[in-house]
Amino acid sequence: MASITTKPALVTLRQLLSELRKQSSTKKLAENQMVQYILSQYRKHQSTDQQLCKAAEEMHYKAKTYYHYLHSSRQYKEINVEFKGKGERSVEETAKMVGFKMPHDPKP
Amino acid sequence: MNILKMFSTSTIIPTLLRTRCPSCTRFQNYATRKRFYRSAGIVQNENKWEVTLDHRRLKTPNGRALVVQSEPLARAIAAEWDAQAETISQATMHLTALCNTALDNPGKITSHDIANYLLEYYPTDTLLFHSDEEEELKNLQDKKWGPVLEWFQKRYNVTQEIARGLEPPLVSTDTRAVLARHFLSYDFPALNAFTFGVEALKSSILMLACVDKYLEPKEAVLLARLEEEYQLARWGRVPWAHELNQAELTARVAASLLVIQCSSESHSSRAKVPPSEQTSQATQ
Repeated sequence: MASITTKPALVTLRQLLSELRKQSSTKKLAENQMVQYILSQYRKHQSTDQQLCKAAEEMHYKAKTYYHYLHSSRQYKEINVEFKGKGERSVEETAKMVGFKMPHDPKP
Repeated sequence: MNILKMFSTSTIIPTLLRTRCPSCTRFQNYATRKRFYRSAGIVQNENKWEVTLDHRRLKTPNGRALVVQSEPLARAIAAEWDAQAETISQATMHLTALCNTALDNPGKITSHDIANYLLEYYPTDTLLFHSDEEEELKNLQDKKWGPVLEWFQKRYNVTQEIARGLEPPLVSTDTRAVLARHFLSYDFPALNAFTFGVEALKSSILMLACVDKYLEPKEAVLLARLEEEYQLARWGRVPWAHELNQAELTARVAASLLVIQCSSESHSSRAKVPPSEQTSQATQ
């Protein structure tokens, strides 16, 4: 039961890879060191099937945690970029809003 | 004349203070750093791991090399640096920040200080304060928080009463002793990360449940924001406040959990190496 090859574990793997694809700066996903590591860990814990294996359950939990981390931080950045304030208006812009010009405004 | 002077200085100062953001050509009030490296990788140094940016070692703000004990953590930090686009946004790099704090220890604190702080925090735990005004919310809290509280009492073999008003509940000395012993069993980086998670969730019970794999970070954040969620169902959801908050808390809790898991894992894996192998490794 506690195996890394169960369906939920593989779903987590796909989610992880999809997040890393969105965030990684390497062209190919296979070149990413994290992807290589995750795949090797999944392979390593694959053979411990059909046992009351604590490590696989742990691995799956860890994978899920990492997925949550990647997903939430990306979501946070996206929302932040979308709704970020533009900063303060400059004195010139404020003056323009109420129909004034700056004292030393060069004439066009 | 005076007014003229005032205007000229007030227009100069903001242009000096502000930097132009290259991508949006708008003024930004904080300094941004461009991504100055191409790739991020890791190197192994005996049984410690370091992160490299284009063959240069990543350092903490105090100038020490960023050294971590576990490989997955080093890889995750490298992936975090790798995920930065044009500018480096350090505010969202929680794993790097947690490792930096653990190494630099800017507050000059010890594990005992942190354990003390957590024990002070414990009576104000979110899960111990149930609503006494709204019946519906009270039922929801009993339904959602009840199982977690039950798990907590069973797992640590303590009894904890809950508060129905503003007064914090009584905490017995037994509970304090059990929790103190548990907190001190973590090493410093893990304890530091634990505090980070507790402060995000505003609840040490939820954080303990996460560390014990009873709850996932997402579920824990949902439970911590239970009252907010209850109100949202009635008043509506605003993405730039509620979803942003939810995403940030989940990222923080997940990051602190990763650090805790990696530190506890390195301990167990070190314990598992048989003594014969250890001596042969030492002689090699």
